[in-house]
Formats: sequence, structure tokens, C-alpha cells
Amino acid sequence: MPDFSSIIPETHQNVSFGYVEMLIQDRHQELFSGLMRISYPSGENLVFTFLDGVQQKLYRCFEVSAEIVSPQSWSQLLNRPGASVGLLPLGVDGLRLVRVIHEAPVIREEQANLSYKELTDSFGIWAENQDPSFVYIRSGNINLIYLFVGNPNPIIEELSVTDGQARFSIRDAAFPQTLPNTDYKISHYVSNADNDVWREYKLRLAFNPLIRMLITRFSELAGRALAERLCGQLTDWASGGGWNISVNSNGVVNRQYFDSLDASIHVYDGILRRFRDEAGLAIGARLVENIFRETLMKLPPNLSNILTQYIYGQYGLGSAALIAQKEITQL
Amino acid sequence: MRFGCDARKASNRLMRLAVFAAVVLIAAYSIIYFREPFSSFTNGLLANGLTVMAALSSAVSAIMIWSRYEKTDQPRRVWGYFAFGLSLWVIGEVTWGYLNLTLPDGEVPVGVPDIFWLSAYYFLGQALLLQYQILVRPTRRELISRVISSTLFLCASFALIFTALKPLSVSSRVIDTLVNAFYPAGDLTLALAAIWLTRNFQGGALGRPWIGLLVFAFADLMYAWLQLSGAYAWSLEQGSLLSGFSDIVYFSAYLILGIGSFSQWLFLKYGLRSPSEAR
Repeated sequence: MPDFSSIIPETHQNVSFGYVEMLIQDRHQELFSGLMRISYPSGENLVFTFLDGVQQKLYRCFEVSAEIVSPQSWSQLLNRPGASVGLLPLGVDGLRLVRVIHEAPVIREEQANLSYKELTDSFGIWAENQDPSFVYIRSGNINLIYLFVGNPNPIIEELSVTDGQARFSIRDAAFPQTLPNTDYKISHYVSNADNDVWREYKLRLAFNPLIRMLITRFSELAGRALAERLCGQLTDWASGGGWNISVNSNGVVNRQYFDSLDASIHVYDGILRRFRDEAGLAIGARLVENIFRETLMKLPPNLSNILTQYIYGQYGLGSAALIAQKEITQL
Repeated sequence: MRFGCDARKASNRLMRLAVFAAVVLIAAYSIIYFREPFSSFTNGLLANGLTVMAALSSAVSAIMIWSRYEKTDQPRRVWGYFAFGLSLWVIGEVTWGYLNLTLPDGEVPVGVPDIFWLSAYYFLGQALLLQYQILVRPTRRELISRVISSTLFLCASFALIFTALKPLSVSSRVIDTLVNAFYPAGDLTLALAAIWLTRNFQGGALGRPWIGLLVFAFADLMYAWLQLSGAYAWSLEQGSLLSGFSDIVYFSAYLILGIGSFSQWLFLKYGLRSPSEAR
């Protein structure tokens, strides 16, 4: 997505490289999570993402795109005078959204001024579109960024920035009716789901219902007490590996920021393997395999497809074609 | 099993204790059976008492599993029925033992104990049906179809055994033959259900009671068949090992069922615990 860093309010102007370094150090110490915008008189904008005080990525924002700067080049790129710096605290949900809008490719773009009525109509159209997209909406001091995962996923994520404060929410297509009745300037960017940024995003979406259904089924077979202990085992395993993911009977509380698809596959795959090992002790390997297949069949195709492609295929739980054979799942 | 350290130790210790107790009981039963170290009445009392104890161990283990589940847990209903069925078997063993000791010839006719033994099959069947429902989540039609096919199998095997027995049981009443024919048919149905469950829970701790049930069903089937075929009575008269072996297997099968259930209880209590969890 083009440069949206202007929504990050400037707090320090015309500062030296040393001062920028000091500000970065301060963010380390206060375990800051959010964005740091560094802009230069030349018009160049850089955006750092921080999670718990650790710099994750540095984006170099251009008018119509952004690129990731490799960590080796950070010092070289920042070593300039006259920087203006702004900070915007954000949680992990917001940071994930920021990652998507910076890294997902844009295949089509439209700019428009829309009335309130036109905006609400457009929301429905964008939500129905199969391609994922994001939209930047401005009006007065309203700065809103929406991320549409693409039909049939009904998820719409919102990042609203007002007076230097960001708020992340999950919305549905009816949401714009609650916006003020005024005119809006919008920038709508249609992306292409066929890349790792969106895959990682969708895998996360799919993983939660998968785990919830697996735990529910395990609880039916083995009882709630064992299911809760199993959740504890999975959470212990994830936290032991340094991942901020916990499992409970409602699914997964995923506070982990994955910066690549492979990293997320590794962790999700590990959790499922652990589930298979631990649940197998109680109900046996055969039943575990069956509940995996059964669960996959019950998930919506868009979710089961991505799980089959990136996780299930990894350890031979069966191909999609195999899963489709109802008689195999019959006990 | 990957239990927490303390939990694993406690679980292993209790399991070893249970197996040791079972071995001691089998040894005691065998000595009483073959050596007859005491008076006839005392030997009978001890043998019957041990059989009741073995049956009680399986029923108590099932009740322990039942109590381990929470009220909303679906397996709790399975174990409620299963424990009730096994409790009826315990009552059957108690009444049979009492009659065996108090009747002049010690021969217990078909009667009160059979009421308990036979009615237990209904509750065990309910338990297995519920377990099937939890495992397969069948549609109503599938469920009805499964119930009908199981009932048909039970009726067909019952009719077959009754037909085979009737000419051999000239002296006994028809009701005796009917009751005696039901046991192998019921055991066969239980055994098939247990095989199916064991196969599904392959390798899982929650499948162990079903292995116990499988062993019990086959032991009881063998016992019933020896009784019906007259081989048991012949063996007693001839002093052959066959009747003794059959009685010991029947006795041991209760203990195996009890150990299988106890093992599940241990898993429910200690299983899947993190090393950090201590209780």
C-alpha cells in the first residue's frame, strides 16, 4: 500500500541520527509496540515496526508502494540529518495489519471522493470481492484503514487513528452505517491473494477454528478435564518455544507476530504434532487421525484448503482428495 | 505416558499395586480351587468371596471413572451405564455365591442371579451404544440401523444357540435353556462391540477398559459354552483341569476388566499433565 505513514503524528522534528538512535534505544527499554515513522526533508519516509521493544521490520515507503529494508542497511539508511520522528503505539493485531498493507502486492488502485451513501454501498462491494483489498479513508481528523480478506472470509479489520491514538477492531460489512454522515476521501487497493503475506494471514485465520474444533471433539471423546490438560500441554509447548500462543477450549489466542509464512507453518505444525502425540495417548492414534480428517471436512473449503496445502500435507494426514472420501472417515 | 514427574510416579505405583493385587488374588483363587486347603464350606466361601471381590473391583473401577468425569461430559453417561451394568453383575455373583453355599447340593438353578446377570446386558448395551454415538456421531437413521442390526445379530445368535442346545437339554426346563442360550449370544455381541471399540481406541489409554471387556466377554463366552456343552460338568466329575481352567479364566477376566478400567481412571486423574503440574 502506498505511504500511509502520514497518519503517524510527528513528535520530534529536525533531529540528528544520534537522536534517532537514542529514540530507538528508548523504545527498546520501554518495550514499545507500534510504529516509528522517520521522515526526511527529501520526502522519504521510513517506518519501523516494534514489538515488545524489538524492531521487527523497516519499511521504506514510496508514493505507491513500500519495500522492506534489510537490517544490514538500517544504519546506512538512517544515518542522515534532519529527520522528523513520530510514534504510534499499536498492538500485535495492528502490527499484523500494518505488515499486510505494506507487504502485500497491489494489483489495482482507485482514488475517489465518496459521499456517506456511496461509501456504505462501496463497503458491501469491497467485502464481496474475492480478491483481498485494503482501503484508506480520510475525513477531517478521521483516519481509517480497512483490510478486506476477500470473499468468502467475512473478516474486515479496522485500524482507526485519531489524535495519535490507534485502535484495532474487527468489523463486518454493515459497519460504515455507524460512521458520521459526511464526505470521505478514499484510496482503495486491490491485492492478490497469491502471495505469502496473505497465505500467512489466512493460515492464522484457519488455525483458530481448526484447533477449537479439535479440542471440542477431543473433549467429547475424553472429557473436559483431559481436554483442558491437553490445552495446557499445547500452551506450555508453544510458550516453551518462545511463541506467544496459548490454546484453550475456545481455540487459540494467537499473539505471535510472524514475519514469514514459513515461521508460522513451523509453529502451527508443531502445535498440531503435539496435539497428535498428546491426544493419541488418551484416545489412540487412529481416532486422532479420524478427528483430524473429520475436522478438516467440517471447515469451510477456503480454510481447509490452506490448511491442507501448508500443514496437513507436511505430515501425511492425507490429501484433500483422501479427506473427501467419506467412507474413510467413518469409524 | 508423559505425565508430570510426580503424577507419573504415583500412576505407575498404583498400577503396579493393582497388577500385584490381581496376581495375588488369582494365585489365592487357584490354590483354593485346586488344593482345597480348608473345609469344603470354607473353600466355597473363599472362592465365592474372591469372585465377588473380582467382580466388585471392575464395578468400583467403572464407578471411579464415572465420578472422574464432569456432569456435562458425554463419556460420563457411558460410564454411568457401564458401572450400573457391572454392579448388577456383582449382585448376580453375590446371590449366586449365597445360593451356592446355602443350597444342599450347591447347584444353583436358573433363577434370581440370572435376573441380575441378564438385565446387566441391557445397561452394558446402552453404554456401548452411547460410546458408539460419541465416536461416530451417527445420524438418527444410522443409529436406528445400527441398533437394529445389533439386535438382529443378538437374536439370531441366540436363536441359533437355543436351537443347538434344545435337543441336548431334554431334562431341563425350556426357560433354563433359554437363559443359558442367552449368555453366549450376549457375550458374543459384547465381544464384537469391544473389538470395534478396541480397534478405534487403538493404543489410547481410554481404550483399555474395552480390552478388558473383550477379554471378559470371551472368557464368559468360553465359560458359558463349556457349561452348555456339558464339558464343564464332565470335567468336574472326571477331575479334569478344564473346569478349573475355565473358572480361573472367568475369575481373571473380571480382574482384567477391573485393571483396564482402573488404568483409564489413572489416566483421567494423572494423564496429560505438564511436568510443572503437581498434585
